[in-house]
Amino acid sequence: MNTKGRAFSGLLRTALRQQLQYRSAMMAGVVTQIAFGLIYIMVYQAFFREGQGRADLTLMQTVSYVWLSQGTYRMMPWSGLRDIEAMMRDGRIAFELTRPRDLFGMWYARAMALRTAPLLVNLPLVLVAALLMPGEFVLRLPIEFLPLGALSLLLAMLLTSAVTVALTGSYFWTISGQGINRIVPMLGNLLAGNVVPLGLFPAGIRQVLRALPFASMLDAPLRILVGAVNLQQALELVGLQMAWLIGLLALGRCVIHAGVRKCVVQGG
Amino acid sequence: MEEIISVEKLCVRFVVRKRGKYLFSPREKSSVEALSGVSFGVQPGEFVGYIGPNGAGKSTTIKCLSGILTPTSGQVRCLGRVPWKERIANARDSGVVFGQRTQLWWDLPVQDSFDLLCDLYDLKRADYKQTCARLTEAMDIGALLRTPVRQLSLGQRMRCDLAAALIHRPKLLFLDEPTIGLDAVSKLNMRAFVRELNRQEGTTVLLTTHDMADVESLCGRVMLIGHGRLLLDGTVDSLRAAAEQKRVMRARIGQGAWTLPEGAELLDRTGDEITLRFDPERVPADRLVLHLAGSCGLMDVQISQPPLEETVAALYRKLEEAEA
Repeated sequence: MNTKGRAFSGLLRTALRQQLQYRSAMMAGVVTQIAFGLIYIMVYQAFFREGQGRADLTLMQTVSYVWLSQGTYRMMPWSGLRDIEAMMRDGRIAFELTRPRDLFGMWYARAMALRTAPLLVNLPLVLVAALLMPGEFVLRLPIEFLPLGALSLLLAMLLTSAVTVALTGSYFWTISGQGINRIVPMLGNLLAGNVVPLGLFPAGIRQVLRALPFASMLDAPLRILVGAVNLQQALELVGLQMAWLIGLLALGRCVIHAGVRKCVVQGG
Repeated sequence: MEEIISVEKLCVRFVVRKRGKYLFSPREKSSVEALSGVSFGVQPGEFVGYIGPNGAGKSTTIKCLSGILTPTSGQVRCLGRVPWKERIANARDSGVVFGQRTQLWWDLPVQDSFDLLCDLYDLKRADYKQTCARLTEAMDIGALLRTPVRQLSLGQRMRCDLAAALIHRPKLLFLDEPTIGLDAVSKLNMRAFVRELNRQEGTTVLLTTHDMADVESLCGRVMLIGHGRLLLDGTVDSLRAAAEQKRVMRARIGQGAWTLPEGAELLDRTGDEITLRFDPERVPADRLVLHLAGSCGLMDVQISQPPLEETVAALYRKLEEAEA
């Protein structure tokens, strides 16, 4: 492994260990996600009974979509890196700058750990629970879409990590993440399909939302996994994800490089 | 020999925004000069104390030298590199301890932070294991390695922090108040360790501190800065010489009336014990002793230099007056 890869995987490993340090919090999260999954499903069952069938998801697909979105709940870019925010406030950021490494790479590794940890713990547990559910509540994943869906989910994780780093970079200017941590995740989760599946939005709005980067963070992999697309559409979705990934990585890099140049660490 | 650090006319200016007089009046921008033209050089293997009152620019200098801060103007070279332009290459050869801040991962055991540093600095496993074992023994932190950092006491954490700064065996070590908050024993251990490091490995050390005992016991050379300027550069003795050369005399006196000659003043008196401060330029020790012996008799006499703390405090005061 080359030296960059080693530093990156070292950071990823350490940050993952940190994420997995607080186990009961994680378990509490899983239980909450299962409970919310059940509630959402009951709401959608009522909608589908009364609705006029213009959604581009079936009820069965919606149920699976809900389970997957609950399992990947913490993968979404809920905030930038809190550790780094604290470091900027108390000046420990100075140590980050004394490492023989590029700041963007180091932070991207931390962000990946933050977004991967729920995929390793929450997602499998929620999925197991969802597979054991009775009748209409059960999760169904068509086998043929699993490989492409998994790839798409991986890309989604890389995307949410990129957004996490870009948010973190903005702290160089604001010092506090309070503002941006409220606006971006709220909007982002709505636009990604984490509140209501994008397939249940009206047709015109649906098209616009799906072109935005947020859809690539959740809606795209979930649609592929529940089998709501054909193979060609699935490939197009993955292609779009890759394009957004390149764009957001570039954005994050720019933000951080500009931030470092203006960074001043005050005090003894 | 080639200088390991060379600094020429280093200037750093910060913009400070102050609140206006009234709640909604515009903020006043003013610029503060943290460093105004500091120049010095350090030879490999030197142990340099860098002292000055709060806000003198000590930490700012260290930040420029370690590549964290880009100065407003001036030239700096560390091991032949410009630190803020070649931050990454520079980081490989230098270690930093900021005593008030920790570089360890708060939630994780100390060992995890060390392992990560091994990867970040791309050290060879075998070398790392060896260095780690040596540091663990020297700093006596073997029992702490599996404890999460948040559960360490200040002294324990500081020892681990110093070890963390040395894991990549830097040629150049910046210590910014490494003994702050430590108890007497920990301070002595810390000093002994850093002294050995400097002697045996030839690590060049730049130390900032407010503890003059650190400086006295470690530093072959002292640089004093104040108001962003280098005021003095020399040995600890030359620092003393720059201040007023007063002596302190403690004496037990006999019965009888006594007076003090010109140039001596009474600091304290309890029973038959007196403490005097005198200026040997104005009243030499022999004359003072004879004077007292002649009037009331002397049972016991002890003459000493004032502590370095006081000397430095006097220097700082002089500095303030010169500025005013």
